[in-house]
Amino acid sequence: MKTKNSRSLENISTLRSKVSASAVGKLYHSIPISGQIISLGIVALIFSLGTNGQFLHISNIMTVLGLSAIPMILCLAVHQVIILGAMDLSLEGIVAITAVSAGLLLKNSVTANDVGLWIIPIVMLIGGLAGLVNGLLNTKLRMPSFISTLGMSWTLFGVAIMISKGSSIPLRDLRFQKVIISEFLGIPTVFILAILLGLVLYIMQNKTKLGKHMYAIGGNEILAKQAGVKVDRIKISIFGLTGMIYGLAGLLLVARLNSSAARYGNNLLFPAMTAVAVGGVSLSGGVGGALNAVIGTIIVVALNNGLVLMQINPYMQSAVNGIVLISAVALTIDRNKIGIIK
Amino acid sequence: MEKKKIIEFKGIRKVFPGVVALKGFDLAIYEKEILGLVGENGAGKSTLMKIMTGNYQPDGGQFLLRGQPIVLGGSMEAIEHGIGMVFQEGSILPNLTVTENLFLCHEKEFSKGWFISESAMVAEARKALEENGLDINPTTLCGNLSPAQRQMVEITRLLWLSRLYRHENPILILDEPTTVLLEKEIKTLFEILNRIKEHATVILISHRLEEIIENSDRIVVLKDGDYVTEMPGKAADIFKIEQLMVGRDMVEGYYRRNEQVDPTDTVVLEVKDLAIESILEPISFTLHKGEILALVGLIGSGKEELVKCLGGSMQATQGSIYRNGKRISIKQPKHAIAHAIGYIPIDRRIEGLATDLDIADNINMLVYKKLKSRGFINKRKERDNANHWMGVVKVKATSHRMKCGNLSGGNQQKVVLGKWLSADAEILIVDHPTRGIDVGAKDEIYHHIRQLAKQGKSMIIMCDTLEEDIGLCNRMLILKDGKKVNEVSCPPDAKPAPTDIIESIV
Amino acid sequence: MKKRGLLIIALAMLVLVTPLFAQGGKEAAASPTTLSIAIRTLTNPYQANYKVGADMLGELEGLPVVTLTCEGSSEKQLNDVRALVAKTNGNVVFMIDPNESPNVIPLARELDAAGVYWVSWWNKPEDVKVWDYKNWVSHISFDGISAGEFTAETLFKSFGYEGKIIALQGLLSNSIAQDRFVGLQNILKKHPKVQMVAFEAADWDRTIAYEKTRNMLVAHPDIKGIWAANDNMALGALEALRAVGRAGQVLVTGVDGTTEIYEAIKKGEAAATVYNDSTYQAGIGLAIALAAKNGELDVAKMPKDQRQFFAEATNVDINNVDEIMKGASSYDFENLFASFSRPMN
Repeated sequence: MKTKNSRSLENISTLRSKVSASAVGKLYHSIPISGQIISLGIVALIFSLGTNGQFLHISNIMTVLGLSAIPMILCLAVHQVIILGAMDLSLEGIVAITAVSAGLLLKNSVTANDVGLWIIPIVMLIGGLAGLVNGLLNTKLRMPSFISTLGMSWTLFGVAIMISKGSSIPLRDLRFQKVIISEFLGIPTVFILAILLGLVLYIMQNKTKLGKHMYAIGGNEILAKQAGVKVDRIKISIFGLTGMIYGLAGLLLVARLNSSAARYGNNLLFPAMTAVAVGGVSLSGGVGGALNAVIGTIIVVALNNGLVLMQINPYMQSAVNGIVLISAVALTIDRNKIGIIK
Repeated sequence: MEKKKIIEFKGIRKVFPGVVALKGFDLAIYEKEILGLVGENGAGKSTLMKIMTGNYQPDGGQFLLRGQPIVLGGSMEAIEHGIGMVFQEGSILPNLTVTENLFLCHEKEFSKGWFISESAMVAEARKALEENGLDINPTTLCGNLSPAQRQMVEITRLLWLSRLYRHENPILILDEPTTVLLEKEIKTLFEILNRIKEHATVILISHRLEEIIENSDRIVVLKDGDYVTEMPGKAADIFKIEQLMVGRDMVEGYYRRNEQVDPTDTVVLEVKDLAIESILEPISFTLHKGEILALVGLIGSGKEELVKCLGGSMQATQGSIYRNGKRISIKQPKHAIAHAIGYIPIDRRIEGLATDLDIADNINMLVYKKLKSRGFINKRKERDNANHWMGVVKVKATSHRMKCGNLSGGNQQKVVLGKWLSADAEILIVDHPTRGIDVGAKDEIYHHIRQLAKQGKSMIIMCDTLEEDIGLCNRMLILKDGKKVNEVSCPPDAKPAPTDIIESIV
Repeated sequence: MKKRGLLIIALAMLVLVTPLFAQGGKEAAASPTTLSIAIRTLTNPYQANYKVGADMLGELEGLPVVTLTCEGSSEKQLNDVRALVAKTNGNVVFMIDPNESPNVIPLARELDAAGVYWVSWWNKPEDVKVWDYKNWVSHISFDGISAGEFTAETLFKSFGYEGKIIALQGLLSNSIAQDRFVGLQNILKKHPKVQMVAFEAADWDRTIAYEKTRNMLVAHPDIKGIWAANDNMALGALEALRAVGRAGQVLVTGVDGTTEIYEAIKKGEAAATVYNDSTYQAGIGLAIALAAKNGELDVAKMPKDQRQFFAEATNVDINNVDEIMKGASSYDFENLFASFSRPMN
């Protein structure tokens, strides 16, 4: 159907095909996230004009990178499940339970515990177990992941509130916060950590059997199974892995605020999902990867940063944010690649 | 014959509750041959295939592979024994590259330690594709390939796998491979299959008998779970085969020619100077009540676009359409529906039928307004309407609540037909009504088309073969390169010869 | 088989977990009046302390206590209250922190019809008057404006009333947030050499406050103080300052009076807070409603000043933080209107 609305999209696609003809076009197509890079460029351009260049000042860039670390880790976690063609809404619940666990097990002002560095495997174990349950619910009980993970989120959030009695737990172990605040060669350490995680996942996705099979499942679970892919096993492991990464993020969040509470998990799902979409990971599965998650998060965080720097009236920010996000997605997603839009 | 038997069935038998699917017959399949397997739906072709791919176990008789009795536990095991099947729907994952699809689940062949060597995979893919004479970039996403290319990738995958498991003469089963292909692609497919035949056995299942005859070395006819006969491919007579398949004489009533009626003089649809920029030059024609008008032309002749304009899924850039003498505008499918014009598209699965819904939902889709009582849809009316039209078009199904995705192609086509009849469509645009349907069901569709014409419905048809067009229509319009080049009348007693018409088409 | 096993495990989990969630469990013998608080959530310490106060009064009077949380849904709040009234046959009194101001109208109608006495805290549309309802005993609010004024004044004093500040607002649509912000603006007018160079809404949330502050600090590295509309955001801002190495040099202020902000005041990282003692709020609210129910208060004859009033909150800064932290070991729930500060019109 040719309507007026579809024309503008056609223009974009003809523009794309024109671009593809040139050498620049070849480069454009050889990089899987070129659309996102361009959109980040546009964001940067607008904001640096709006802030007299302050947006692109090195100190601000480092602030953006530092702030993007935790959302990036979360986005890297959730995008794995989305590649499978499933959904994971348990993020806030798992972060809540791991944050509270970290608060109560590290040296704190409420309990007498102090597990020190052991907290890292512990939170990953807790998150991983929760993720495994997600995977089992989805594969063995054949529940739609959308609803089972939502249920998990509420359950774990509830448990987190119960064991923390709803209050926040100030930490007495300052080592973790120091790591979070620290910099390596002027780059926030926590950002480097997020990038390393992205790299590991990138290699896994592109260079291992597990990665290839993840994409096969995301493309079409039934056909993948026919070809011999061990669908259930892979889904369970990915849900588990995702949970482990949530756990890590929960710990980082606690370390950053040097305090822990169940509600620190709130307001994290939306930015992560937005980053997934803006980054170009198809919500119907099988398309996109770690690179998309990384760039998507940076775009989302840079947007929030730019709005503050430009002193956009807080009363308008929410609306501006929404409009910019829609435009960013409209500009960046490759409709040919993504296939069915759900 | 000096050819070696690769598969041999002895008294092969398969029983399902209430049905004997295979009655216990003998059949041998040889090395390096293309075997055409024909038969109506339910003749036992798919059961036989599923035994060969390990999805069914025979209830009696023997299945010998390379001279040895064998039991196969599933398609993976079949592949390990060198038997692979290309399914009608295809099993290629669109979001993976050609390389990734080719070696899915066999990545370990390319592992170096923990990691897969992408370059080794691509190199092997390139080699495998070239061996089959395919010019496909191994790093392309399969979603960007044509259906034909995807099929080729699938074939390449099966051949590569059989070599991985060291089988010299793999067996390749193709189920309706040409349904999704264009004419040109069909030719390429058979060229490639003929090349593959040099070192493999190809088993071909198709409803298009012309193809089977032209390309098979040997044709085996099955009927009602039993072996009927076999014959050499090239010499076979299509009418003879059809007769054998259906088991009754069809020659005389072919295309139900004897049921053809003359149209009335009433013009129900008139198209004046309709044109689509750079696709179709201004065209004018009329359609009479009770008339069957065939649109004939190659791909690119503009006929597909022309009917899309009438169905509302495309818009003409100029010209006008008159319905019963009144000018109408069709901008969207719903406008066409409002003017009682129904469009039965070529790909039922995509455009014409909601396969996830049941038969009743599909038949009632356009007429829910009529099925309401007190503002809500009435269950009983819904059921009655569905059952009525199921009866009229003779849908074979256990219930009106059966999911359409589970119906055979012929029955799906009938459901679409029922949907439009239920909506009181006066003009039906029927795009390849018999594609992918077996002979028996075809005959029924012809019967329906005739019946509809008798009832005064007008139809614009585009068929799979020229013979079908000629046989069915009252009049044909021949299009070439976006222009109307000829108009031929086809009365029942004086049908033109296909050769005469081909001249104006090409 | 596998599936069945899993199902059994899932059911077993549910059975094990359910008692943990069940409230009290002990059904009251017919007569004692139930004390109930209808609040937003138990996930933040301020709201959670409501429960402490309610339990305290419950123990004092020997009455059962039920806590209803609405998790941000006005609909749920109303339904929960309705359900409890039905369950107790109206033998109940409520202290309610209405989820949104307009929610008091259906609540008031419902409880009037059931003859159940109740007291509300914080949220009420100005034009809705308590005295128009016979069972709505009182509506009390801490004075947001004066809280904002006190914390702003203390903050400005810490840097000698000259320099730039940034501010963190709560939820923009929330009237408490607006009141406290008005307090800040009043003090800004008084001290023309103090400039508010930017303000952002951080939705009462510590993580958002952290991120917004980090971003604002890029644009305004030379600020002298951060005013926040609650402690949670103040603490987020404080960690943001710590991340750029300026905690202790730039002070923060909040409102609510949480242990964490007291610690920060003691360490010299925060300047002030205002303690809204929700333990007291819940206890006194229920005590007033209970007094009405027991006939000790004649609602129809109560002066308007007791039906709607602002209560005195506790201002906290370095001078009294130690004393406040020791905490009130006991509360006076007998002197019902002792906290009265000024009437509400």
